[in-house]
Amino acid sequence: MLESIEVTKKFVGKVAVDGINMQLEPGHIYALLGPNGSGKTTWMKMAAGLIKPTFGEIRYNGEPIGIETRNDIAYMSTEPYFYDWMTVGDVGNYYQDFFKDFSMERYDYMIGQMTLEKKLKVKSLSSGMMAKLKVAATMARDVSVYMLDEPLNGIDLLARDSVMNMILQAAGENKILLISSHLVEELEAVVDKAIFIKEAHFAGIVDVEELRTVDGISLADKYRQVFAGIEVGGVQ
Amino acid sequence: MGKLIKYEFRKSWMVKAIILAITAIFEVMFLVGAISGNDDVALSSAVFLTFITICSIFIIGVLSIFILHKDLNTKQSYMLFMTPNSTFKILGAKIIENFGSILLFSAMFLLIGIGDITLWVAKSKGVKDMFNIINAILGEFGEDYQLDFFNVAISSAEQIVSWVFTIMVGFFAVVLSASFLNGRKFNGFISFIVFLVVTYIIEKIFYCSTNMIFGTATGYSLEKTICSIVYYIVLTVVLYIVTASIMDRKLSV
Repeated sequence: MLESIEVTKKFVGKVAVDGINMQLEPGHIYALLGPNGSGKTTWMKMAAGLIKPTFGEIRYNGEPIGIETRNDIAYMSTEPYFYDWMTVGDVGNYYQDFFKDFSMERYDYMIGQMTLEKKLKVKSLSSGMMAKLKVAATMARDVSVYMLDEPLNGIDLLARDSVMNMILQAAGENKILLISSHLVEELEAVVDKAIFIKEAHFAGIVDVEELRTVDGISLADKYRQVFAGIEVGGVQ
Repeated sequence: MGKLIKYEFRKSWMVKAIILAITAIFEVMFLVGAISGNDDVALSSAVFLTFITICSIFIIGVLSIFILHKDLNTKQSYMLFMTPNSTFKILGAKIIENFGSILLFSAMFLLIGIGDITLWVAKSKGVKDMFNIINAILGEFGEDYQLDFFNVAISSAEQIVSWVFTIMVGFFAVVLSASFLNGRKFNGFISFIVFLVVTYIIEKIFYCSTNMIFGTATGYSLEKTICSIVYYIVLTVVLYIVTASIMDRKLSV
């Protein structure tokens, strides 16, 4: 279980995350939703151990986030982060060197599916190809928690399905999958829970199926309701 | 840690390869000049080789500070900090790679220098005669100066260790800028001032201490050089622990 306890992050002149309390359970695919600058990325980076909270704590199975939890939590940033000198093959070698759970076989399969060649230089990749590479490197790890920040950014409509399929192959009973995206409609079909972050605060967590069957609204409608205050009708 | 060191080397190998290539070109020019008796070519190559020696040790050190700055202040920082390695290991790998590179390059330049001077000055008489000639010149400055293999090695070690310490202060300043001063105005300038102040204080303490212990802070003595080596090694280790602790507790990338 991934637990966020009163987590706050302050930067100079700005509170990026303010007292977020929430729990993420294994066996679920979560969408992390909120407008730009709401604090989604900052929270994910804290859960990945890249940013230190100003107050509060994030725990994974009772353990504070730290060096050890990096073996259990895979994080994919929305920005490109590979070294300029790397090729697609080098990225795989790097992950294999540092992560015991990394499968080169799975990586090769995924880059093959995404039509990426190992000899391609990372800095020559288009934003779409870079997004695919990041997904392949992250999802070739076998961990308990996957956190993907805007994984579909820059990926064209046709390729989105194959990328999403790759991501979903990692889902399982003991896994937590957390996906942040602005493409609410795209996520609606694959996630079973949605977390809303509004102006640095936790603004609720909903069961997507329950939302449809009980409240009669879609996730996109709920998003509009939470963030724009627009009341919407039921789904026909 | 071996893998971290491997990737640290990978980040800087291009610059090192360029230094090696330039050194090789001038060394070949020197050898051609010395063997063919073309003094102009040999002497100008020797001047360039001396210049390259000083510059390359400086460049390797400054490059490692620049790489750390990039590793902490760009998104490439994730490549290091998402791996299950402690900040002590990450910083330690950088220091070891840098120290190793400086040591290897220094040893290479020292050997090239001894070889070239032997060829040029002593011709076939060998290194011992060369040292005798240089010692005769140094003797004019006082009896403290004696050049032999041991003294050359120990003096070189002192220079290397004090330079590695200076780089460590650079690492400290960069980490300070990326942690406590992150997001604040003039953080780069402030950390540069911190670098200058720390370096000055450490040098001043050493100067005063040697003055007190040995009666003078200037001139060469074996004891003073060994004290200097120990002093800078201890300070490098202390500053490494402090810097890695700051990274561990305060650094967000």
